[in-house]
Amino acid sequence: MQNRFGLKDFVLMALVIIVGTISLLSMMQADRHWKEMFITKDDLQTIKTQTGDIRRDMSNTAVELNEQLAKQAARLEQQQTLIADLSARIQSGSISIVGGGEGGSTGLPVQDELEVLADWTRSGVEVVELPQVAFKSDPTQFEDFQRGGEFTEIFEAQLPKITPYLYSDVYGRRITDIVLQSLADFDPVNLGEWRGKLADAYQYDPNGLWVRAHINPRARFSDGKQVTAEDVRWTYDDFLFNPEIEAERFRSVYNVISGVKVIDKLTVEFHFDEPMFKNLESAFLMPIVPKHFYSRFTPSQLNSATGLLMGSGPYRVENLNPNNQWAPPNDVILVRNENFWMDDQPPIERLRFRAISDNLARLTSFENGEGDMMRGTYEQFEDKANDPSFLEENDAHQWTNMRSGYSFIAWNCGDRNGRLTPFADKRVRRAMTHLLDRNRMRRDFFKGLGRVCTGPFSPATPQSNPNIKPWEQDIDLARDLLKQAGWIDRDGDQKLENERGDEFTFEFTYSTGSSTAGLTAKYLRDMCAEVGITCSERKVDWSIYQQLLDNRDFDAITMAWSASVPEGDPNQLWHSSSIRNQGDNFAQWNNPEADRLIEAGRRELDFDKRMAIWHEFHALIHEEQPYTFMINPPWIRFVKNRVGNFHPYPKGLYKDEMYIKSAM
Amino acid sequence: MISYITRRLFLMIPTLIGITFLVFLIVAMSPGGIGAALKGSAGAVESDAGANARAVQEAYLEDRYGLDDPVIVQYGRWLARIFPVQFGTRDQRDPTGEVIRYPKDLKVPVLAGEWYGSEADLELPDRMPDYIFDHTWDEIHAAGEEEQEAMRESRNLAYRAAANEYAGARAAYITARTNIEQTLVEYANAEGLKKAVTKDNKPRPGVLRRTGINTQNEFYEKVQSDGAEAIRALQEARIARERVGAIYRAKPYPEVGLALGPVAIVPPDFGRSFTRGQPVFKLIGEALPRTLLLNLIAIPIIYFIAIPSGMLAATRQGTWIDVGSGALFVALWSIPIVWAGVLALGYLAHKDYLGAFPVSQLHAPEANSFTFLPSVDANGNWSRGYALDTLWHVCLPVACLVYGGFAVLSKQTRAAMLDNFNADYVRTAKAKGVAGRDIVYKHVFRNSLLPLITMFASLFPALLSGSVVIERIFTVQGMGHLIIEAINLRDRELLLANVLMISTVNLIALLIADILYALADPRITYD
Repeated sequence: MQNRFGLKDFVLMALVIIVGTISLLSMMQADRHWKEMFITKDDLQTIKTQTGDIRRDMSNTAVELNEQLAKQAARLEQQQTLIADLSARIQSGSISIVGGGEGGSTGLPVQDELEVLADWTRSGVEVVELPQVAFKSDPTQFEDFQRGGEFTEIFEAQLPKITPYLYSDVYGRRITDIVLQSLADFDPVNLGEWRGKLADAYQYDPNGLWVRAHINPRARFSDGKQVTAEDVRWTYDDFLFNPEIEAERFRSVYNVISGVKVIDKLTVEFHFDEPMFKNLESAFLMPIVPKHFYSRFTPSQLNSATGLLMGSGPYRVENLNPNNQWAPPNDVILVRNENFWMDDQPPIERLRFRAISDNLARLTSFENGEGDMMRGTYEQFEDKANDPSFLEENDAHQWTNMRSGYSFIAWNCGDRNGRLTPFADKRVRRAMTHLLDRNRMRRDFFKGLGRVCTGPFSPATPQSNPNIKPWEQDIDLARDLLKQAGWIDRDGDQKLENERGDEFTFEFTYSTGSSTAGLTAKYLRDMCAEVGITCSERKVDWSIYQQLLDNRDFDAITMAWSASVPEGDPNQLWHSSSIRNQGDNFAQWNNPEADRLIEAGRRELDFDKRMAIWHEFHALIHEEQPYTFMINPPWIRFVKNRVGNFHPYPKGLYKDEMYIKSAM
Repeated sequence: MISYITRRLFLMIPTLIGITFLVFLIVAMSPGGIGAALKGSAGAVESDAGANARAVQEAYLEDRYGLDDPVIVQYGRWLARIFPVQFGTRDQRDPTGEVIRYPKDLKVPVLAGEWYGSEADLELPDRMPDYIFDHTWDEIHAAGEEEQEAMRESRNLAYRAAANEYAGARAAYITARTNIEQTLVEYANAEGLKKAVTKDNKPRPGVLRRTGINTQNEFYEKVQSDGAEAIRALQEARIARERVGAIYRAKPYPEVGLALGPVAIVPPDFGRSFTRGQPVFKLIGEALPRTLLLNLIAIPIIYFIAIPSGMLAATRQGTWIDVGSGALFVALWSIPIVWAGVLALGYLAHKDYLGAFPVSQLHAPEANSFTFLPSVDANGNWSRGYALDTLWHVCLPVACLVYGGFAVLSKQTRAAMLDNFNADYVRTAKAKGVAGRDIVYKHVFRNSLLPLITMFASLFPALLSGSVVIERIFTVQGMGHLIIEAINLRDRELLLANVLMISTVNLIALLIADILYALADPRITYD
């Protein structure tokens, strides 16, 4: 008789499978417990070593104290014998006391245990006091103010690491900016002034070759250890410029600093090769890391670390155990630093950062209440900013700030493969700008957000010249300018030709990834056709872009720049020396007047004079139009309205002063 | 059979080399080439320190990851590292687990000893005698635990100091070498020699050599001074390299692997991803379980629904079950995943509608503090536990993975079964009076297995590769994400390891399919 697969067999098999799964699951559970145990063990070990350290420190201190006491006792004894001797002599009448107070200074040597010099300054140079960074708007003034709560921000992409100087994207920067502190920072509203973070005062060489900063004696890292000048030096010499650490990306930002010298425990001096306005910025904005923490690791451990982040800022990473450090794709969790040393303590208890890559998923998650802040797209903003049901629980903000950057069309002002492009003539470039209605582009491509851009400096910063108005669309003027430049329809075919009879044609290059660039291309082509110019489109992959730019292999190309500091240095993009050697002046704009202004501006250390030079430069570039500047895209943020004290500043956002409203 | 399998297994080695090499070559030829992302990031930063800053930075990166070597050399080096048998100097492993190699060689700057400097300047420094540590390894092993620690640490410190010094000297040399290269480019431009400059703005020594040096060129003096500086820096770096080499030869750390005479058996080293800085093995180890989790749930569901419904459709050919299931599956198959994913998010996960499912990732943020299985704590609060939480999170991604897969498999099954229903042996069986159920299960189904086995072979690698679209919509950091990233960023190590893994699995799946053919159909033999 054949064995049929009957109901009994089925039940049996199901039972076997169930038992199997359960035992597998319980094995996994046991495994998890083991892992947890190991992590706990690790933590315990760290705590043990730390207590060991503390005990050692304490016993050292005790020994020192004992020694000092012994010394003091010896001194006292000495003094007593001296006094006895003196009184004996006085009594015997061999000396008479003339004045008082001499007895205090017995001539014993002053011990120089403290490395802090009484006077840290260089003589003859003005000391500038740095007022501490403070809340712009005090959160405690609100009725629903409370301390505590968790704030979740949703990022657009998974960040691979948060280790200082080794992270590679904007999200890494945002997190390290919260945890680490630099010596000073810009005021979030008035972007021209310095506010003290780790430093409380500085001296700046009138010739601009050095700056000496004094570290606030109260400054502490999140483990309670004092921030010293040695930490600053170590950050520069042994972390950032350690050739074994893969921090190349950041070195070029800080290589205007030629050296960092420790003057005393709390005073540090930066040296520069050339006097330039950027120098102070580099020295002040360099995030300082604790030597005692990072020197425990080998360079290769640091290079592959994902979550080793410790500093002196208002928040700290929740888990610093190197064997169990933060790693993607977990949420980054920052908790309030209990040892935070500044006066203004942030109210929010925990910051959480999670990544959701899909636009819709991000918005859904935000609306479901899984996030307190996210960046919206233009379309989402248009959709949601006027949607009352959305605004019940959320707010939508958009504003232009110093990081806004700008999008542009670059005209190749030099030669392309040995032939000058039509854009070598500034009248042609001006004509191209007059062809475009940038307000309309703003309305249609950017959903009416942002503002029409006039130059390379963010309008939120003092560097931008406020008197410059964008060129209006004016097709007749454009025709006129083209005529002046020699581009006339000579054979009546509705197309422009130059004297040699060559038709005006050019190629517009843009990246496949950008949707607005595609729309710009269509619009530009239509407007060009209107005056008789043939514009062809060239759509390339982003990876080819750099190659095209390096080899100046384009007629017109569209891109966007972003900014990271309120005052940009135009040298990299606009100086004629950046045309050579595949520099970033890919528009090949060579203007002696601009060169003169850039050189003068970079070396001008006085803020107001420098701004005057930049304004002049801005006006010149507006006149010359090597780029057609298009839009300053805004920052768009959706925020839950349970978050209080949210203010969009010209510098960006200031998380320290936000709070989670108490439920009332 | 055994000999066939062995032969197939051995054939895999050249096949794998061929596949990885081909993929590597294609990526290397693509715009940007290997390491495109690194070069891009080098250009993206603000740089103020002279026009050479970017070139120097690129040179550093190229030197660090060996990108300045020809593609074929890069591939060869990778192959040597993953090969389990190692010849020559053995690698060592430092206390942090990092594999330490003999210091890399230094390249001589172009035209050195010809246009500037002399042959004598370029002579290699004498080989240093091996460093002698205070204690031999035998003494260390014999010592007590605490002493051992101190002895190891003294070795470690000696090597670390020398290695750091060498890294500094090497970096200084790379800067000097880039400077002379850039000066040669300036020289060539001043001479009007367009051909002597590559697209990457580097000099072509061959072209320059042929034209000979022009002492009247305005950059002649600069070539001489920069050249002398580069040679000086080179010699200094060479001496530093000798020093660290001498320490390395004295074995500051235990050696990796198992020695077998002149060769050593070592674990393959897949290297570090140069865009993430982490070992490739670790990155794959993190991404693979996520993809496997999704696929191991999705694929059985597809099979359990598609095959029975295909069989049902075949036995009830022409009835509403056949037509209905066919129409439904084809309709599902034709829904684009992007759309379905977005709809699922919008309606099933958004709280204004159903809101029953989580939006992103595979675990709740606090999942690590859950117990594994569902539990009730002392206060009577129910916790869904890690396992159930995961199941809840995979619902939507799995649904999206599954719905499109029914059509092909069930139609395949149906067609194969129908073919066999019309075969003579079925009629014979029917005539013999075999029960209908037995005909279907024992005869027809077994004979219809062959096409399903073929499908299985193609499905196996799909198990590992993951779906980019679904991973993006539901924010799952799986294999699809990793592979796309490796390709976009031209991350050599990550890319090669992924290609190797997937092609190995592919080849093994094909082999298994061939073996299964023989088992399913006695007519097929391989001997």
